[in-house]
Amino acid sequence: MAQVILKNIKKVYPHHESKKKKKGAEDKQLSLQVTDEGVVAVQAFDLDIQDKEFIVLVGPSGCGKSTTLRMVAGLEDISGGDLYIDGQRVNDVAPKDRDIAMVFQNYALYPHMSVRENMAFPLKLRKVAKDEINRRVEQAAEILGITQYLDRKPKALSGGQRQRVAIGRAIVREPKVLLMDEPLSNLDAKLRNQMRAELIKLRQRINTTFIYVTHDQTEAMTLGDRIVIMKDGVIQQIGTPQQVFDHPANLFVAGFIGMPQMNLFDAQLVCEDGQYAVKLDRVQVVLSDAKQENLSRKQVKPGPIILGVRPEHLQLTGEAEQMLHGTVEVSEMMGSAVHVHLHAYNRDTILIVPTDKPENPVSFPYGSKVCFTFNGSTAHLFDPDTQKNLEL
Amino acid sequence: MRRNKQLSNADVQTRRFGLSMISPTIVVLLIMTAYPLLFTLFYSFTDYNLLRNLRQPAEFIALKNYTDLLTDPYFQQSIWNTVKFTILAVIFEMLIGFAVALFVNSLRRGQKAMRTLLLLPYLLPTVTVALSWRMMLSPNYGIVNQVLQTLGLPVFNWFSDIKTAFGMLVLIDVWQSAPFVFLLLYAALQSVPQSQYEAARIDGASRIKILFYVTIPNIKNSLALCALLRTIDSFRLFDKVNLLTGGGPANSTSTITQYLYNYGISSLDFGFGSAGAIVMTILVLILSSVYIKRAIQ
Repeated sequence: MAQVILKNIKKVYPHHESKKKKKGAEDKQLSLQVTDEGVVAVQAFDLDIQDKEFIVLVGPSGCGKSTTLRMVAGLEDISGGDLYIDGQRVNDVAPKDRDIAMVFQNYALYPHMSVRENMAFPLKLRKVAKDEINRRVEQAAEILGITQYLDRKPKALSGGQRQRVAIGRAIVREPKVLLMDEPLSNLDAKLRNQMRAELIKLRQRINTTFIYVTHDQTEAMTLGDRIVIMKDGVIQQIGTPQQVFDHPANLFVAGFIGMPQMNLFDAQLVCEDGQYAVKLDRVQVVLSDAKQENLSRKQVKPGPIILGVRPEHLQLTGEAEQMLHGTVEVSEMMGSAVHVHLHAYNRDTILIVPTDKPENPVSFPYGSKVCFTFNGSTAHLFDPDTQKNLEL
Repeated sequence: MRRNKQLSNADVQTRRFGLSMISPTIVVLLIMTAYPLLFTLFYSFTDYNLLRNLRQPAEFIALKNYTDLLTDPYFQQSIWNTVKFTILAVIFEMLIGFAVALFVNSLRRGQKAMRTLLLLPYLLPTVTVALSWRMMLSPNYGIVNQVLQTLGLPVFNWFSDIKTAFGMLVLIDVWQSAPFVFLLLYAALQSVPQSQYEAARIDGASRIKILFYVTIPNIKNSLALCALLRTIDSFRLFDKVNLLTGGGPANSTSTITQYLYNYGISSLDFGFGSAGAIVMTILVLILSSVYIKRAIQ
């Protein structure tokens, strides 16, 4: 239960260390900044995490999210900047003295100890009285539904059960900050959904500050009070799930958040009689009042832009001259909707067609022509050079 | 039914094929292991001695070789020497090997170079090791005595002095075999998941506690295997003793194998030697039974 402040945090791996990491890094095809000091894994990381807030760090592999979490945990040295937990600067404080707990992706349970011993271990090290240890372990086991496994060894448990034990080991300590490093990544899809829901419940039962790392945007959107989206060691955007979904700060965020990802088109921003509109092919769509206001306030000049429209915001229309059009490449029946992959304006485009409307077709043969349009309130406009959202 | 019969025929064929594949190994094992063992067991109950008239067949003398052997004070001393040597050598090899493995595993740079350098003593043939140490510890021209003399310290005739001979053998064996322990435990240490160390650090464990609660439990099987292999190997110690002291001075370094060599092989009394070999085999089997039992489980 504490505030965590990261002020201009930086992590640089000196060249001899980064060589060691090269093998892994090559797989991830990183484009991290390399300086004389070494490889910059995280830079200019500023974040104020409020007490009892659930913060999710999200981004692709190698973006520096785990490194940031490990710096908060004290498992990585901080190359620059200041880290405060509960008002105390902890840059040089050992992990055990930071009053934090961490859940690892691969559980990191002690294989020779029973579930009970695993959960009691951090309390035993802190010389907590036996009765108190038992009380806390049993309480945590009950919250997590693992009471019946307390005397088993970790190898006798399934992946989901092991992860519960790992969470149990972290919560018995009642830490100020609970860190989670991709805790659901080793679970299968069904179990991951189930555990995600349980984490939301758990969060309501234990009032603590959470910092959660994931590469899965669904986890980020569903769990986080705020999301921090990272790329190449740099924060791209911080905001609530709705904010980052509705107002992505740049093209990267626009593409990263949302499933299927946002469709992008090379278009023109035009301004006629003080009214902004987007022109794509022969179609011109006038933007909503809110967007007009934002663009006017920022005095955005007409010219080429990248237009982003989410697949669910593209509307299927009848065949007409004044509509956008594309050729069907693949169609995927998802039950409640059909995901139609089109080739339109030299871009791959996805259109989500709900099946609950009788007027919508459910079959889209390969090579057929599909016409669609979009609404002025759902268009996202990006600068083609800076890739930034023109409205923000 | 017919289908079951067909399946069982296929099973029989598979089994036959399997047997035919492993039969060469079985034959080699029978020739190289079972036959010599049975041969030795048989002759241990006879007075087979090549110094006697060869036309006279070996006579069955029941357990006489065994009673002679077990009542011989020299053999008893050899057993005691072997046990003492094994305990000391294994303890020092395990402690030094483990400490070095922990040290090398903790290095951020130069692990590969250290690993190669540390392995060198183990890669050398025992004869080379023994002769090198004999030269270094030579009372006349050895570097050790020269250094001690320069420092004004007492010098010894290391391999002929009853106070030092046994200790020198332990020292040389530890020098040569600790790298084996290092290699095996270093490999085991590498397989301990890093996240367990990190979890323990966050849980509040000190370095000592991490050693006892994370490192040792994770590599305990390798520790046990390593201790067993070194125990069996030390128990069979022969080459260094034979090359450096020949069991002397005053039988103080004689091991079971050296005793068997002196009184069985050198004197061509193969019946007596065979009894000694059987006793030794039984002792080694008892030592390794713990591990074999575990392996079977």
